[in-house]
Amino acid sequence: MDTTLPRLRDDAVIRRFDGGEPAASFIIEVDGRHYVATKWVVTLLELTRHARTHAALARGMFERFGRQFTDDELDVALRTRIPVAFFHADGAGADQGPLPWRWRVLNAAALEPVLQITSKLFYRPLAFALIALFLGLDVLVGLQVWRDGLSSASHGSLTGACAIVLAGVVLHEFGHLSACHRFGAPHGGIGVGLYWYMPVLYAEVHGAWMLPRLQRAAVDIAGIYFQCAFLAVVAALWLIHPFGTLLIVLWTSHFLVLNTLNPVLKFDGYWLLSDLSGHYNLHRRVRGIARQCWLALLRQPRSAWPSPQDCRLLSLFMALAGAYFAYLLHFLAHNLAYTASRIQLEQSVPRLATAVTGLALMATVALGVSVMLARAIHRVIVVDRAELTGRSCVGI
Amino acid sequence: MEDAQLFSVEELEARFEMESVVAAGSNLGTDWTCECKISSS
Repeated sequence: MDTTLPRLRDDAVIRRFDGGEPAASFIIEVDGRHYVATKWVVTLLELTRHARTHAALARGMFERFGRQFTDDELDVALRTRIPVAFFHADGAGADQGPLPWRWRVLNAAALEPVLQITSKLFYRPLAFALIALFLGLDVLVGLQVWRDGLSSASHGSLTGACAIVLAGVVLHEFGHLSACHRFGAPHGGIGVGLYWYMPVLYAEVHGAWMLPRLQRAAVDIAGIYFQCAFLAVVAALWLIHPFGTLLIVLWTSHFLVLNTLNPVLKFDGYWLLSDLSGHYNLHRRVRGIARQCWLALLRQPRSAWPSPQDCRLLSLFMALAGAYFAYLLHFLAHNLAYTASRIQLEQSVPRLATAVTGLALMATVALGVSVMLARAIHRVIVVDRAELTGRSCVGI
Repeated sequence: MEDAQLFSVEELEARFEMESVVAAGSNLGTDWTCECKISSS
């Protein structure tokens, strides 16, 4: 046994974690990465700051928990269960997350002066007033559209509408960072990336993990709050001057907000569901439950059906995923068929080229979504070696 | 409780709050046209 003890890094930040599971009650931050850990891990790590021998560690653990550990048990825990990043930089860097490609446009320092101002929008009476204003104006817009239809949108400028919609999405990202700033959570910048073949704007809010659960939920919903405040201004302008461009902006932005509320992909709805329910690493957890069900169905050795609570979580997630992807694939198939039929009718070369490009893009997205779905299902039903050998996957 | 559970550590996923810039279903135009002709014979 190696007698030199690893020592917890001085820059590691440890706080209580406000999650739904009592076992994982602490959060540890190193190099911008966040880990949930039990009180046993945190106590052991804290002891490594001063203890020089395994015997001293064992003594400390006994004083704290009244349980005897052998030197070997503590050594195995330190060297195999606890990530080396807690003791020295492992060079792994920040987690790439779900974005295979991303580019940060503005970093945190550049955003700081703006966030100092925008974070004031979380003053509670002001927030309620803005939300009420948005809802009121939205009802008025809805009534007018109900009466007159959407025909005025056909006179709008698609390019202009795209630019205004994009401005709303940028404000959405400012909302998330403003909430982090308001609650004192470390944050990064804003950028663009690709997620599931979809172009996205993103805000880096990793530090939000250190916040209490309700403040994390406020960070999650803050994007929509800012976007709705923006849409209230657009709605007011449209009610005064019913330009078609503004109607396109309102219509499209509502779909974007609904899309971001879906909890199936890692948009705002996913984080909101995760934070409000207290289930962290929701995708991994749902995949684990689905895999457990699959193994139980196959009657694999040591397999058992998940708990009723886990079954409920899986059922809810599967129902939402089924509805979302059925809608998405139906929409793509419908538009593919429509664009393909239009190509036969197009006479001018530029319009034909546009239609062909649109068809190729939609076919790529449809293919991409199908491949990603197939991969997700594959990861559930393919049993890896760790499960067949019954090895625990609780630790890292 | 087993030691594996006592000393469990799990990395939390990176938090990127994202919003797509395209939304399925947001087309405003109809995908059909109606044509009406009046002829006298």
